[in-house]
Amino acid sequence: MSALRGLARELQPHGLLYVGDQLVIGTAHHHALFLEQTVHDALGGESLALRRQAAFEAAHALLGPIAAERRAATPTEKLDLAAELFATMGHGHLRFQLGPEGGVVRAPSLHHAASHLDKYAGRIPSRQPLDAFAAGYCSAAASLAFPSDWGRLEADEVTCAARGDDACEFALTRRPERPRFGAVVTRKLVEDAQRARPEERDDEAGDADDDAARARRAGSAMLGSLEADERGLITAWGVHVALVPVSYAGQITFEAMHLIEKRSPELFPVLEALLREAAQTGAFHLLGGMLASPELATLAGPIGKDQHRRLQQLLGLARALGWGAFTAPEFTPGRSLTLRSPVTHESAYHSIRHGSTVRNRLPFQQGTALAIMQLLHRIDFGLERPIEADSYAALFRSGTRFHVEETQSPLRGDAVCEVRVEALADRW
Amino acid sequence: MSAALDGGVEPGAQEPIALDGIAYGIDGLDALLAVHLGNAHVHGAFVREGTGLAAALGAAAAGRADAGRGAPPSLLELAAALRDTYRAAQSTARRVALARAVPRRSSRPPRENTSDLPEPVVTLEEGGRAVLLRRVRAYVVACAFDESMPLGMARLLSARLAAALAPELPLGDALAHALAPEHRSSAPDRRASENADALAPRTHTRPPAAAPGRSAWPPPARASWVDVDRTRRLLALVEARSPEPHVARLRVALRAGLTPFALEHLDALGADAMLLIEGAVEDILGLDRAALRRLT
Repeated sequence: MSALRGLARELQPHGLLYVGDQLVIGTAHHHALFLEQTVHDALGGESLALRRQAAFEAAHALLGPIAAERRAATPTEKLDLAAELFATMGHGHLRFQLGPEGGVVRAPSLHHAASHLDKYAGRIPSRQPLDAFAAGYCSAAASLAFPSDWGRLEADEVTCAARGDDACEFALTRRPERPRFGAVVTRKLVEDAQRARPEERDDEAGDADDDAARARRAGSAMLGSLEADERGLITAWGVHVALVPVSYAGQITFEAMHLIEKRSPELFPVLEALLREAAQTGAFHLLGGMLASPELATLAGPIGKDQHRRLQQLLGLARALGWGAFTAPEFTPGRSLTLRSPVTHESAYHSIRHGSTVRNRLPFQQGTALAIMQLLHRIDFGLERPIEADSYAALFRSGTRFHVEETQSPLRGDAVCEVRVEALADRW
Repeated sequence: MSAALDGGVEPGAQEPIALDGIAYGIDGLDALLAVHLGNAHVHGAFVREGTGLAAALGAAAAGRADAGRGAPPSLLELAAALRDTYRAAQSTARRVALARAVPRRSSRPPRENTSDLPEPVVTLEEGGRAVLLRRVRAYVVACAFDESMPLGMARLLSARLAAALAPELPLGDALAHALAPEHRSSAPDRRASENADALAPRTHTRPPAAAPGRSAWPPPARASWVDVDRTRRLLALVEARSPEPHVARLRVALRAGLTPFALEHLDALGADAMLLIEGAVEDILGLDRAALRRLT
């Protein structure tokens, strides 16, 4: 098993990450579980098809070029490569038992199922299989290994550890339909799009030595040193970390948004709030865990006692995770924060896949800004364990304290992605 | 389902009357069928030209015996399938309503009078298309819409079409066997059932919508205060037990298809909305209905 260092590369100065030629983000299991749950809440049984298709497209775009680059020619070589990549990204060990006509894939631990068990500890049993991403990934890997003009190999999750089964197992059978692919969001497309707007380049120089730059370099080193355990999972900083293709996260997010907008527009604000919540809970746990880690203190100095310095460290960590080259042009402690980036993974995905829109389409950035405000104001990093299991839920016992608004978006013709968080006056 | 056809269309049954006048001017309406709940006879039909059903309708109108042998399914096969779908959903909805009518810890048997139970509206979504089934006396009115029709508009139009069609349908007795559920539950394997649910097209069975801000015709049955009170306890339970209590109501709203505003005004909701909320709470907490009832 190799460390992430050899796999994920930074796309500077944009604060993005890529594997092969595909954009990825580093996320915590809190984000992954909540995002999938929200899509399921919105679309019910339809969400399974959406998530599997999104995973199939993302995995196909990821695996195809990597297999060609590493000269994996035989089915066995391709499946071994797919299994290695999946585990290195922190999603679990896949054991393929496949032939051209189909077969099974077993996985004792998968990112979603294992995280569900860890997070809810059996209190909230899952009533349906959770590993749609793994199902789509298996389908893509098998279809690349055994290509056919007679359709693709489709994976159905027949047992799931999150439902109490011993392991997750997928049955693969060939279905007659041809694979469908949308526009693929590649690193080159993002670079070309940003090159067309040179005046909007991030102002962080490669050799800058401010707190954010130091935190970014430290965060990159910390992320690069991560290695999956024997289960194929990456556990660090109090969370399960995984690299998730931007195409997957973007497709399930925006397809759900589009469908709810079309079918039940009165519920769109509810969906938007929950997508924001997915990002907030993920960013809170991952950024908070990284900020409180001894590795960061070693590599970038101690946690700032001053909120401005802590903010810069958090921005640097967000850049290292591939969320965007965030800066904070305005921050008033206790009152407001403006979070800005020329491009983020979600703005890049939406602009390439769906084009411009007048609507708000930056829920991840909104949630990230909320999480940063929570970490700056509600968490005492002087404690030995600043973030406990119930820290996040405790933030909301007296209600929500912050309001976020999307103030600028390149999808609406603005130069940057910008959101602004303000403290609610009656809650302070 | 062949059973419907076996006992189904009477020899010499009349050919469907044309419903083009009622369907005229509704873009996005692919088909409108009035199907008898007893024998699946197609009393009236409109099928838009260019859809796969158009040929089947022509064959049925011409009385050709081979109308149902080719693919896609003939009009008669489709009518029987729609009738069976509606009756199965009707049976389930009534079981649920009867079960809910019995007070907790009561030994009183379920009430026998089913005349005041709500008639469900069945929505079948497949590939972006929607088919809505509503009962009008002894008939089920099926409205099939194409992908361009928003679901809310489809609900509104199907209600209006059923209302417009009601005076055209025979005033025969509502069939007793249409009221008696014949689809008995056979306690299927849980996992197989859940997998099938996850893979199947999304199907809702709900009485006419009653949430504030939603179109509702005919007016829905108002929930009893007992139901409202229990639903309040359900919402309190989901907030207490959910791992994310601060967004629990938002999740219930999204799953149930009701706005947060509607959840704040339970008194204004219909009995159908209470069922939707209960289903959402079940899913969020991962509990079955019996466990949920013990807790509330």
